[in-house]
Amino acid sequence: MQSRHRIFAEDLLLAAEGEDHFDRVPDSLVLIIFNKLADARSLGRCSAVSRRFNALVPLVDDACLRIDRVIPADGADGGAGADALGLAGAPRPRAVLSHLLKAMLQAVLKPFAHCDAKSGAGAHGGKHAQLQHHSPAQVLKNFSSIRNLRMELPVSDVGTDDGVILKWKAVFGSTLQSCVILGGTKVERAAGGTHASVPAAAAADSDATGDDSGSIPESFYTNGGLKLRVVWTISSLIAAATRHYLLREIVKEHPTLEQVALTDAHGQGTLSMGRDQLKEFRDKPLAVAAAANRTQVPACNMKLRYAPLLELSDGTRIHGATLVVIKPVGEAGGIGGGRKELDDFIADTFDGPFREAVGVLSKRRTYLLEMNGF
Amino acid sequence: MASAGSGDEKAATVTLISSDNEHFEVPEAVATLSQTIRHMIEDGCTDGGVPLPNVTGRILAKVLEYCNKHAAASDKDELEKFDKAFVDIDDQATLFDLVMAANYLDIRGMLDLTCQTIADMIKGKSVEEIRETFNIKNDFTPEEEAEIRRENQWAFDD
Repeated sequence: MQSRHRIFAEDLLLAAEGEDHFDRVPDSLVLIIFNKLADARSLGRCSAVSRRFNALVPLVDDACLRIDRVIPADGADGGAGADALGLAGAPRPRAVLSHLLKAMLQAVLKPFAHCDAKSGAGAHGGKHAQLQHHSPAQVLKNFSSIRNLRMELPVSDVGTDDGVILKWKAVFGSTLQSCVILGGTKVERAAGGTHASVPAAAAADSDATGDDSGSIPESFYTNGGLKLRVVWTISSLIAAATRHYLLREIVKEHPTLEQVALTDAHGQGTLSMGRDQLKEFRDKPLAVAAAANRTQVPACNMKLRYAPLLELSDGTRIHGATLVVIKPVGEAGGIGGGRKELDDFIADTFDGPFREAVGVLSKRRTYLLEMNGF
Repeated sequence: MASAGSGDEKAATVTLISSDNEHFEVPEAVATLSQTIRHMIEDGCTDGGVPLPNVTGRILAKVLEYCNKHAAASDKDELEKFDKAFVDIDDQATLFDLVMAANYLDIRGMLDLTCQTIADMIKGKSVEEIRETFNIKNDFTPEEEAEIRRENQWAFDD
């Protein structure tokens, strides 16, 4: 029996003589297959294939939902927003902050007012005429026993200049619990294929860790400095809080959820919630930031570590490398307490060369900062 | 005469007997990739061979091919290449046989691999294509099917 539809490589695997091999596979194995499939849209289609599949899809543990498009609330071109966040050349941190917040609100928040899980047929360039918007909550309605949810946004939230690297991971319960941000003003990868002879990562700079003056090194200011780090920090926190707010309907409707991760296609930021965090999310009411579609970010303590130049063992060089660890003020597990757990969390945040970067930066001198809630 | 198996001083072996009475003498280090067989070895009930009534000789040979490779090699890239070739199979029946065998023998890696392969065959296909690929009968009434499609409309916009 030849397929009349598109030819797939798997057409070689058309069942012989009309036999349905799924018939001899027990439900538990079909569920394993569905869990590996994970993709919410494919699972949705499976639920229309046969009664048996229809009965099994709601029992899936793991689902992954890739969000195709985000629609700006006011219909404006969503793409412009991302570029609105450049660096304000403005001098004073305070002015930058308020300008920054406004720019962030436009760039980040509006796009997430409507998350479109599936774009409509024949949609080109954002025409809204016949599009149907399906919210993620709607899509996930069928998955009543889902335990692990992974959602992927199409683009990163925080626009950055070329060469700038910014990665963050945030854990929220009903509010921010911790956030780790890794940034660099410029990243140079090793030339293709060559492995640098540097045996271990080294922070090469003239400010040896023996600097006792306690003040931030001069190069910190010439590299864009404190202002830039503040921009990164606030942008990442806003992005995380926005994603967190997005999840409230989904978390409410899926009491079986144990693990949620909301990432983006570029791998910039991850919002993660585990079992304890989800429980807290359900028990305590969310504090919503004024006039914004995001959760309130509480007053925080930040530990900042900096290296003007990091050379990693695979030859990657990160300029102006910064590690910021953020925890809410006054929490029992705040900075200085629950040390081991926090250290483990920080070490585990990223993979690959960034993991190594975090490790090296963690040994550097720490600078403490405080920030009001917003 | 069936070989007893474990008298060898160099490396202990175990004899596996397929449903169609084919005998395979296999080093224990390889056979224990199967948790089922590992437990039987630990419980000391493998003398005279282990009968596997749910696995034919043809499939068992393929399973052992997988176990041999994974017990020996440790290079990740090499194993990945092997796995890819392993599931590049011409007929669906064999693929599903391997899924069932991996489940019965409790070989986690092989189960993951074969189930992932089937999942990849489902992904991206339309409902009709899924039915056609696997020969699944549509047992919905037209009303039921319409209802389901309406409920899950987000999955069907194409």
